[in-house]
Amino acid sequence: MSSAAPAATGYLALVLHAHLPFVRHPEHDSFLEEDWYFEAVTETYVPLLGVLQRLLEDGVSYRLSVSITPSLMSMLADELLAARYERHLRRLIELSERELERTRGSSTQRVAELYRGQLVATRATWDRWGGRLLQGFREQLETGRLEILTSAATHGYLPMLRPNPEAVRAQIAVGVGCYERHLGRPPRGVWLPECGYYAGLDSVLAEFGLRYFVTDGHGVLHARPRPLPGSLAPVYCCASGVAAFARDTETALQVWSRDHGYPGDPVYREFYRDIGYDLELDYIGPWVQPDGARKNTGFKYYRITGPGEEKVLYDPVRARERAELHAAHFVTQRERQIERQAAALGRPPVVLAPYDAELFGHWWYEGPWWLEAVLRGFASRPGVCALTHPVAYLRAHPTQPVAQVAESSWGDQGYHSFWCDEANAWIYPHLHKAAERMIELARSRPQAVGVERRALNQAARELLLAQSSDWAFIMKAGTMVEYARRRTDSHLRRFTRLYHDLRQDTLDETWLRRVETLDNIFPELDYRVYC
Amino acid sequence: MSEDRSSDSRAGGDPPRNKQAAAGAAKELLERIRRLAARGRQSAEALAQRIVRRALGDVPHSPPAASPAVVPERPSEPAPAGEEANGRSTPEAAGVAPPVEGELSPERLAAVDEELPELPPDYGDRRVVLLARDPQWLFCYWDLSAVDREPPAREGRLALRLHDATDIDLAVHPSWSQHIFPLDKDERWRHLPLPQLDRHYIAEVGYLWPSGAFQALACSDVAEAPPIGPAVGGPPALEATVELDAPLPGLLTAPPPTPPSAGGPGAARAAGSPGAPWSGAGSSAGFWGAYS
Repeated sequence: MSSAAPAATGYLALVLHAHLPFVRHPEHDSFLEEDWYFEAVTETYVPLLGVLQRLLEDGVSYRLSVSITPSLMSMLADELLAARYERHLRRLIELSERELERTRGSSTQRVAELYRGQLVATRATWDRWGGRLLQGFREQLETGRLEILTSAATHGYLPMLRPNPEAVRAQIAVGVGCYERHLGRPPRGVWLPECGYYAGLDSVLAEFGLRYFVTDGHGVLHARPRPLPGSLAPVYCCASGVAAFARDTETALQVWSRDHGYPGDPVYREFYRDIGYDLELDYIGPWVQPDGARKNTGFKYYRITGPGEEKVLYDPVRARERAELHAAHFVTQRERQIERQAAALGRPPVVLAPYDAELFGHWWYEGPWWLEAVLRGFASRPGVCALTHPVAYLRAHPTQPVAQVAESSWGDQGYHSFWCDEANAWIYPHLHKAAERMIELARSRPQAVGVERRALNQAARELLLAQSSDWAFIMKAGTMVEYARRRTDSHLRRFTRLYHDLRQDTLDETWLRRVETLDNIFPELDYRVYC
Repeated sequence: MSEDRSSDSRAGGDPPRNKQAAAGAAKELLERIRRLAARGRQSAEALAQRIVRRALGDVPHSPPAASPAVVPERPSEPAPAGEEANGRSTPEAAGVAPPVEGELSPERLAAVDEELPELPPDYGDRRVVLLARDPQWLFCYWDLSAVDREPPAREGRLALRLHDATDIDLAVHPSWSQHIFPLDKDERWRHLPLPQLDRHYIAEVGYLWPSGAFQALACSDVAEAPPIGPAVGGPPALEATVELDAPLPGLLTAPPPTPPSAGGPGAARAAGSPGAPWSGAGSSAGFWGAYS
């Protein structure tokens, strides 16, 4: 099916970035950080698939782009995590039944019923795809309505990996390979982790057939020479011809802003009031950590209300009405933005609006309702602003400015400081050294077979996992720092042992097999991506 | 996403009691001792202590106790990388002996990092890395041996020298300016304020002598900070047409068969300005350089 967008005065390209670090711990029966994945499946990925499926069934010609990072793809395809998620979901459904009993006749019963219904629907969606949600996304991809972007293998923050160009190349190569393996076709677009870009990175993307990426607004606005259309048109990187689309600031604020964005509306559900913390352990104990430490369950009964501690009970009917109101506002605002800019630009402007996918449903409970209403809204009135994919826009409008896109990111301050700070700078000498050693290993053993080959592949996996930008991010953010430090340290130490064992010919196959079992990301990885 | 709760409170369980597993563990331990002793990674005393602790069951390597409410269901034992979960082997796993029973138990998996050495503080490479952090700051780290960190004479001190190397080769042209940052010998990285925006810098680490002389140990590559704002003045960017389904011109190694203004499928061509020099769109080699 063609993904061409209808003719319009201008376009909106909505991009959701779905990413989680690779968190899988077969060495423990239950592991708190795996909840990140379980929560995201229940609250974001399944609801998103539900939205897309409903639109498809209703014949709505939506256009949406989603980047699914290779680490997340690997988790979505993992059998152990699938089995654990089923257990997790079964227990949530049990909790929802108890909540129906507990709230019967009270003013919170309606919310409990909502949760119960959603969890049963989640179970149905999960079963429909046999626990393979990627298959659901793949089917949407094949309709031409959904565009899926790839990303760097483990979401490595590429500007900080650049001292080893081969390491950057490997992140991209493995990301593209993972996409092809799971989706059966090559990707056209790439989500650069944290929108981190530096001059020359586009040439690496071009090498793998990638035709566009997303940068923060100033990546294009600060480009040299100055692109006349500003951030409402893509720019071709002068060294490669790969297109850079700039994040639109106006749409970013409307959804992201803590103070002025939609998700902060007092009618919406309050994220931080969860029965995992609010109820007595005698009741909620089986659903928190084994030692009684509290954690989120996803059952929340209050609305944001206001800045104070006092919270009013959540009303899902009002919240849904508000989400639809906000969606209509968003549609109208985009039309005005397009009308305002189109004449001056001399070409159909494209507003690129990227958001973290996990914002929708997990953090902003009403996000999927809002998204569905937005997609329906634009599809029903495409004359001024039509939905598009970046790749479809490039096909329809191939003449664009050529410039050197500016180094940038979408992180705090707009550059690299969040990933290179006093809290996390210590990792870079080790990451760079490990990359240098991996390159040395790959180049010195291009024909390895058997155990040696497995060890080389595992060394590459350990390096890639250590490079995940999430660890540096968490160290800087100051939450769960110990886990992030441990992951970085552990992958680097495993890599270092493999390096020495390979060089000294002292490989221990039993230990290797254990590490392969633990860190089984990218089973088809070929270490020669580092040659 | 439950970002404010730690996983560190997991409880431990009982060590394995199965005789077969114990025999396997002992055999593995002996092999490990032999290896470690051969590499000199641990002292004999540390090894002996570990043996005793293991024998007494004092080495924590058990899985946490499951929540009482958790159904004691165990997913099938995970497949190692290189081996499909359904049991099919990938090429790299061909010919690999099947794992011994218990070899991949959670207890064994949880213990893989035991006895791995800590990461070293330095690799002794004599290396300086300089990277842009933002338009106003650079990030610099250096790797030196413990010996290098001590100046050869007491009067000297470890220091970093930052050169403005904008558009010059320091081998043939002195830097436009130099800035010295005295270093503590235990320091390993520093964020450096840019003396001037939109310039290129190179860092050296070495010894600074009372005479002012600088003895370099290692030198970085050039780092260029990102621009702090939009380009001011100069012509705006030219435009080009790039056909999506054609190979990117930047990857061409030979000149294209037709001149850029003639167009044709797959060719990048100037828009609105026939014969315009490609250098107007950027001076980098590759995409546009192929046509200049």
